[in-house]
Parts: sequence; C-alpha cells; structure tokens
Amino acid sequence: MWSGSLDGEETIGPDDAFAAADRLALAAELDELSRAADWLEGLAARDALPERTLFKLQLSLEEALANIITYGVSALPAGEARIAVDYRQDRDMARLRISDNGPPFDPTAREEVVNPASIEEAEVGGHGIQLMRHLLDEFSYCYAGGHNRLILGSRLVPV
Amino acid sequence: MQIDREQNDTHTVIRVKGRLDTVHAKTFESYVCDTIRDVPGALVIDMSQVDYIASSGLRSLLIAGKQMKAAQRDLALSGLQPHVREVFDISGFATIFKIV
Repeated sequence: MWSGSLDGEETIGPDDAFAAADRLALAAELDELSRAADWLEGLAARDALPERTLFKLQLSLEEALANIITYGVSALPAGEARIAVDYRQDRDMARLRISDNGPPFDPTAREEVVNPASIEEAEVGGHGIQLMRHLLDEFSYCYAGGHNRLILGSRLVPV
Repeated sequence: MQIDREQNDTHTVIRVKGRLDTVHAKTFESYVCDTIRDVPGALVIDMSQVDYIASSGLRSLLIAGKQMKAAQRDLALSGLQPHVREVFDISGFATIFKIV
C-alpha cells in the first residue's frame, strides 16, 4: 500500500466533496479490478445502496480503471503509477472519484460511438466509455495537480 | 467464471457461468475461439448464468461473432439476464447478434 502523492499534492479544503471519503489505492494491474469490485460491493452493502446504483457504478468503475491501467499509467516508468478511488455517498447521489497520475486523458470528451448495423461492420472495442455515459448521472473530468480526476455518479433514487 | 460445452446433433451449446468482465474475458474468448475451430456447425452461447458483462466481454463476443460470420455459420446467444440485456441495448449488440 502506498500512502503517497495523491494525498500529498492535493489541497483538501472544507468544500472538497471527497474530503471524508472511503479510499482504495490500486496497483496498475488488471487483476486489481476484482479487488475494486469487491471493495465497492462492501461499501454498497454498508450503505444499503440500491442494486441498480451498484450495477451502474461497478460497471463504470471497471471500464474506467481498465482504460487507465491499459492505456493511461502504462506510459509511466515501472513502479511510478498511482491510482486511487474515493467513494462518497451524499443524500441523493453515490459518487466515485478515480485519480491517476497518467498522461492527461479526458474520457468524457470522447465522441459518441455510432452503433454498427451488422457484425461485419462492427469495430472491436470502444464501448466502455459509451456504457459509462449512458449509465451514469454524473460523468465529469478534470486534470489537476498532475492527476486525472474522473467522477462517476449515480443517483440513489431514479428520476 | 465457469465454462463448458455440449454438442448435439444440430449445434453446440457453450454454457458460461459467472462474470464476463475484464479479468475473465480472455479465458472466455479463447474457449469460444477454440470451440469454433474444433467443432463444426452452429453455436449457441447460453448466457443464462451470466449476470454481468463489461465492454471486454462484448469485445470477446464480437470477435467470436465475426469468426462465425466469416465462416458462414450460425451463432446465437440465449438467456440474457437484465443487466446483460441493458449493456447489449446500449452498445447495439442486441441488434447485431441473434438472440434467442
């Protein structure tokens, strides 16, 4: 476990929505996705999150982390990758914030993929961001303090 | 994830149980591609015990789908659970795959 730079470089003021969040630090390996899924399931059980909220957040967390681990922090020298996930539940929304120190990449700015008309025309890949965009109520990004910050939010009560 | 297959007179059924996620998609893909190579004829992938699929699982299904199309063989998916169905609807896979 690292206790490192994500905390150190961050100015957490009283307005920081994730100041008192639950936090999970992850190594830059795809095997860590199972641990992240289990961690979120534990928090969902503790906070009695609706099953649909858990589904949406769990799938979005996996998609976002898979992209970061495969394409993001893989650009860094071995051992320098830092990935952390914060979880916070407010009255009407459960949110995850993923922080990583890979090159700046904004998944929310990617163009919507056009669904193919046939298997022959379908291109392999590209559905992860599409799924996040459709399932989440909040999907926002910023780059601050040398880190990508991606927020995944799902309402607790459907509107 | 557990996976096995059963061959009958007209087609082969691949049964998957568990999560078709990023961690398991490669194993699933290898198994399905090996089956396509080793067993002739139509193929049904029984998804009734799959309660979760990520884009990596979609990717593996698409690779299998493309191989079957190229070989002019019939591929169908059966027993889609609600979350899997939702992911299929969003990604357009519900339209391009034969679902029974």
